[in-house]
Amino acid sequence: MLDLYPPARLLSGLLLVTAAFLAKSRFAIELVYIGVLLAVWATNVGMAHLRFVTFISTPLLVALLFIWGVIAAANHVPPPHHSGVDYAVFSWLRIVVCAGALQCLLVPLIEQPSHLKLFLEKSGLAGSLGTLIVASIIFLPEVRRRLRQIIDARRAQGYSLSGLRGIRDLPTLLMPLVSSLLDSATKRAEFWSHRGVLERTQFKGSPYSYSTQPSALALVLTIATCALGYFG
Amino acid sequence: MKFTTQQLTLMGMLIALNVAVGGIVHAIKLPIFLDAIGTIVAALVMGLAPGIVVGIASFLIAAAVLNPVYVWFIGTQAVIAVFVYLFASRFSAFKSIGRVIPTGIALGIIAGVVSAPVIVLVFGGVAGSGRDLITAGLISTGQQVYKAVILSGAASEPVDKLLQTLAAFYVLKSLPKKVLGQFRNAVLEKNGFL
Amino acid sequence: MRTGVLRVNLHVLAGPNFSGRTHRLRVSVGLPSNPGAGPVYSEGAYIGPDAASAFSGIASTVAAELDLMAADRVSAKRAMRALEDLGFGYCLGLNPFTLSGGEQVVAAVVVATASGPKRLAIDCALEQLSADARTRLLAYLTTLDGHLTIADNRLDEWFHGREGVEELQAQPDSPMIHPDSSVTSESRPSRVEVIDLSHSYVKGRSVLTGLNLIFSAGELCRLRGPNGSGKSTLSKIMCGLIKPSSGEIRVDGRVVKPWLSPGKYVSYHFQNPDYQLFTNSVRLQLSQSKDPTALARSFGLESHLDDHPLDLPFVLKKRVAIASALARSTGYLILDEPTLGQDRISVINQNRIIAYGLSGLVISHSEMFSGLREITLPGPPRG
Repeated sequence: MLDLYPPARLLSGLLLVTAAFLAKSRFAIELVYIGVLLAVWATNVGMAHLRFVTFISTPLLVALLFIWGVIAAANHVPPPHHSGVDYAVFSWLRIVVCAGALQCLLVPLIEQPSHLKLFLEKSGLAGSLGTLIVASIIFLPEVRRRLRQIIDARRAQGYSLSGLRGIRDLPTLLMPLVSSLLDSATKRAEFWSHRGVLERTQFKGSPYSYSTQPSALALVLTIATCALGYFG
Repeated sequence: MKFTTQQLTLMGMLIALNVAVGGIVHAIKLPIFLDAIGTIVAALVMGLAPGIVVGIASFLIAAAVLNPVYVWFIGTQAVIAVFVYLFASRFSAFKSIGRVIPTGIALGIIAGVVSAPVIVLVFGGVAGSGRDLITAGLISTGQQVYKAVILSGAASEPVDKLLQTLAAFYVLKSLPKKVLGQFRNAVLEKNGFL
Repeated sequence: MRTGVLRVNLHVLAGPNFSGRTHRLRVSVGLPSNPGAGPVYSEGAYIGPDAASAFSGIASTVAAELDLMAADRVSAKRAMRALEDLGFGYCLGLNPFTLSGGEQVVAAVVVATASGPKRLAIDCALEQLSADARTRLLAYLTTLDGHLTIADNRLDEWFHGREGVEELQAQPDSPMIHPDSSVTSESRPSRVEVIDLSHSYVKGRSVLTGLNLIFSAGELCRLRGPNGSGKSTLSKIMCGLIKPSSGEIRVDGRVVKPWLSPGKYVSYHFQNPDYQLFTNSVRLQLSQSKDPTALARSFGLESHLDDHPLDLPFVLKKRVAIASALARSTGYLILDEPTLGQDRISVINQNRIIAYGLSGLVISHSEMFSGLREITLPGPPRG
């Protein structure tokens, strides 16, 4: 996987999303999508993107076709450009392109929280905010574990959690979870103060070296994709 | 922005809460989203800036972990935090059920309206939820798409946001006082949580 | 790994619940008596029963945590070797918050030692470990320099030294458990049978294979087995939280399907009380009992009936959770680590309550259940 210089990576992701909005024809957006698919391959997020396209974007496509291809067409409400069905497909493609670009940017970072902190700092985010985002990603499995245990305990007490009964029971489920998080936050704050955690830095100055050539190449390819999108 | 250590630690945990709870929707098997509970709690327990940070950060993380579509609604999360904080601090909007209900409905209307431009410009007018049926119905009465999306948001979002506001209210009301007392502030006192 | 020679200056606080051990331990490392009392920095390290609170939370693996918290490179490397020697080397590549409670205790203690504190306090964390893991960890700790203060519940189960032991006394009005057997389950104890039970979470990997067990009415048994042997899975199936892949459950001779009504035939007390208390008062939590006040009194909770359960100290939360499982009055009760946080006298009295006429299953590391019939689940098949 490419270790792009963080600002280059951030810029590439944002430029690809911009390219998706610059494209005005279906051909143009398909060209941009090719660029995005290359990025998806390079950043190893193929499975995540496939899941998005299959499970999340398909209902959106159906809804778009229904609204623009059937309802709007029947009521003579014109789309911003193209015909009803064309606009539906174009919009869907744009959603997929943006999702792919964002996944290339975000998914690898989440999978490596240690990269994430450095990325956020090099991209200009204040240190404490970077710490906070990394801490929440690392703590996510613990919150899920607590929630599972709470749900199990509630079910073991004979309470069903599906449907309207589930909704009514929601505050009851959330109370011990929120209480435990408030308690853990207080203990962790004490630990951070007591052990000087925020003042510590990890030994290795930078855990990886950012390669300038791939970063420059990625930027060039992204700009080329934008140009194709605009002029395509 | 300067946060105390205790605020930082709790913000991190409430971000994780938003992402984790947002993912249990299928366990409840009803179309509610539960993606703003952490934001509402953060705004009430810690204040405006922490609420905004929790809202935005949780949607960025949810975009990576759950669904990239979340990224487009970070603005809505920020608005939720601002609304909750303003109404709780100015009007004690969480003091009683009688105040929470209109607050939740108003929050839903505002969230629905604020998310409309994103839905039109990025998603071609669809939200991938029951809201789309209302949008379709409005278009079939001759409404322009933009207006239809705004109105469908104002109609459908209040249900979800009211549930989340009520849930946050009940949770804060039933929290153990010693635990909540570690985060004592004017808003919590004004709204009767402490 | 060096053993035997005691380098560390060891101080052991022996005493029952409510004898002020936590206060002494926190003060010994420069912490205020209660968390949240304000920022403080010292050269000491404190590890409480909630070992997850002893991680920074900003390191994605235990190895990264060592990188962050260790005093220097040499200490970090030494600590990594120590974790491997202790048999927990596999934790190095894992997120600390995905570890089990016992793994978190070992990892947190080793990370704390790497940061070179002059004083280390371990407060009732070691009871979560198996006897073997605890012995090895203690042997490692005694090779270090500095001051080590330990407190734990039922210390005499595993600590037999005489030097450096200070006996503390319970405060005069500490809540005691009274073995009032009349408060035990009002329903008849059930006979539960597990017939040819198999379960796998993932295709091809069985957690339980063709299990056949009989739990007689009124009998309390102990469930044992290594990690991954299916203790938790069996318990959840019996309670109805999981539908088994195949097999049958019978209660009092009738075939039942607990997964259709979880909690109807078997009550389950989970290890951590923080995640099973859902009400605003102890009274409400025990409201399913015929006589909540008597039940509360038997568990030493009578002066806390109107308190929020989650505001209570851990040991009382544990008692509330066990009492509320009893209050449900099903014919069978599963208890996961019921001795956690409890001193010897409390466990003895608590056992008198739960053993009276109940059918039940106990999952516990503690030797205080060694008199019960033991059911040992084999570990996962190797190869």
